[in-house]
Amino acid sequence: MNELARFLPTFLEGFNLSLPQNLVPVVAMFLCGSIVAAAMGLSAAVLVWAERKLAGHFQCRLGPVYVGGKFGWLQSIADGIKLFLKEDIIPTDADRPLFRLAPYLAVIGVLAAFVAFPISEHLLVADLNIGIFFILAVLTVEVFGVILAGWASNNKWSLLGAMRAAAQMVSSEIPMGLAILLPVMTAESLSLKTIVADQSGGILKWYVFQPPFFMAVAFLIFFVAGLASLKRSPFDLPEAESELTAGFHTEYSGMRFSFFFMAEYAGMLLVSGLAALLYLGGWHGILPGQSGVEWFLLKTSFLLFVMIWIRWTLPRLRIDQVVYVGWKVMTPFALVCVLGQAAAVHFRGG
Amino acid sequence: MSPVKTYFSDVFMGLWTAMVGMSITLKYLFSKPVTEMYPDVKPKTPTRYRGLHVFEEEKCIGCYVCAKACPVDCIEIGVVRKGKEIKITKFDIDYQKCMFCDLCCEPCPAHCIHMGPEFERASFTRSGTILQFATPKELSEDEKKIEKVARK
Amino acid sequence: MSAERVAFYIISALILGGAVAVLFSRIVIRAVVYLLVSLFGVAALYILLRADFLAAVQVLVYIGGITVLMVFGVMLTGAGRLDAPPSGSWKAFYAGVSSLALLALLGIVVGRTTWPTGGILPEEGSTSILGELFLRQHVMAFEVASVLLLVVLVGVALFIRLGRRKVAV
Repeated sequence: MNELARFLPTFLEGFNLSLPQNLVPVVAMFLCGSIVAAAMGLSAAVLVWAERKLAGHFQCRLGPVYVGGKFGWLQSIADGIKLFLKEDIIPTDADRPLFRLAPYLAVIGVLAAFVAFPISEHLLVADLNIGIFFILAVLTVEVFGVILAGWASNNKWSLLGAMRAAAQMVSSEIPMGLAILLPVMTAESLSLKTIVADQSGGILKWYVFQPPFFMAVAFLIFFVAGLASLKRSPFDLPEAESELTAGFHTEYSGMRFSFFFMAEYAGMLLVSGLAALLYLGGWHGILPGQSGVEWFLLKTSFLLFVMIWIRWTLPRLRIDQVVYVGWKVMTPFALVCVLGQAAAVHFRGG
Repeated sequence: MSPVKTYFSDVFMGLWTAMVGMSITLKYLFSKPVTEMYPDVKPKTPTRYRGLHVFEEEKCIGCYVCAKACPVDCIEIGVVRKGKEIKITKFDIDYQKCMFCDLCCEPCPAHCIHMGPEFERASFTRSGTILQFATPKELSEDEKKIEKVARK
Repeated sequence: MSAERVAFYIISALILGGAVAVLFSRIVIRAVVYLLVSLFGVAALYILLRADFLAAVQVLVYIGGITVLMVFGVMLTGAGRLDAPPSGSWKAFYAGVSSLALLALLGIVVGRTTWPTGGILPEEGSTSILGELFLRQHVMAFEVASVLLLVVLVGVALFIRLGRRKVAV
């Protein structure tokens, strides 16, 4: 088994379906999309449960305990059903078409990013030449959805949330892009598969642990900027509950709200997965020769844990502080890292 | 401090304090949760807990001391006295008024009223919050004549 | 008709339809959304031409950058609806003349240019070729462009500083 996008058409042809030849790629495309969407929804559900459970224990509480036995592991399924059955309210003064469009844009952005997201050497939808760049580009669509939601709601809180989202995104996207540049330069490729392949051979080959340690700083910058672009605490200003009710999704209810919710959690998975792929050796294990999905999942879930940990520790920043961190701290540091790593790559290559 | 030095120390302190905070919450993660699973698991109340009253009818001498001591007048007592025989016909405590101050239990000469460990007696009606502690008794006509009901 | 041809027509319809909708939309923010459709179409066209890097740049810069900035601008200025242009004014006349002139100019350029129609799609992996071209052959133009952007950035920052100082004094 190789890439899903290449594997599925041949797999379908093997069935001798009565499909016109031209339709096979289309059907395969839809199948790919639905598999990715299902995986995304499922992982978002698991993540929501993990977040609530961990949040409870970080605060000396228990978190969900009742639904589905002892650990409340069906909690997010129950929540999903609840959201599904809720009334879909559209405010009278909202811009109706845009109000409806916004959540789909947010979900589609993340969904499309997962297409280029490899889970192991053999388990991926499509190995794009420009993998990491594609993900970075497509993720901006999600932010556009958020901003549109804030505008279309026609509500002060939503608008303020959306404006914060825009300002925050612009200031976090640049350090993030610069931080990604380091592994790309070192591996001399934009393909995530090649970048991970370059880190094979034990923990010391992982990019974070490579001297002169510019990559370690870049990892930190990527992670923090990733948190900011995901609107996660301590950068959750666009939805700051204490000031903006719920920020950009104040007016959303039911399924449309759950789309934003799902986009956020799938985005979390995406950013921590990317950090694992780019800096922590992806699916390569601690000892040389070890590799497999389990290593990748281990690293990703550790980073997800750190995200949740940060959320339940740090208080929210002010918007000027977020922009300060983005432009005046992370960007200069990232620039220095890029220069340093470029020099290191140059002299290593001779 | 020069601006450059302030900048770098700010960046460092930002990271450092975040890490200090995270180490504290990590400690909490592995500490025992304080949640009480209340309706499923009843909490153990402390020994001197002031919950619903416990009334020992056979000890009671119907002296009204408790009702007199009550600052909110929530105790209503009915007694029938025939020589040495004492029949408690009524011992009602109105828990809409009661503030669990324990002042009724202290002066009782017969030690028949105590603060107990129970606390679940919410009710949907007003009458449901008035608890009757005396066992209901059939009274004869002349007993009814000499019954004394008093609040204070 | 091959699948690519069908895709080309669908994408072209998207681009043109989006562009026309931008022109006829009275609500500014909806115009931005129509522009988004049009720009997406262009990115899809790049993918069809196997220029995947260019497509990603298109999405990143235009959708992630330009349209977000536009929405941001609309939010800050509060421009909701556009009024109908006053009919019979000189402004409309000038606008008509200048757009017709632009149309003529573009028509001439399109007509004069000989478009290379190789018929062979380039191999995948245009990224490294693009990088080589940017940093070897056209390094001068590339650097000049980046210096220009830097000047703009510093200039804007300076203007804002100066304006603020005047207000403070």
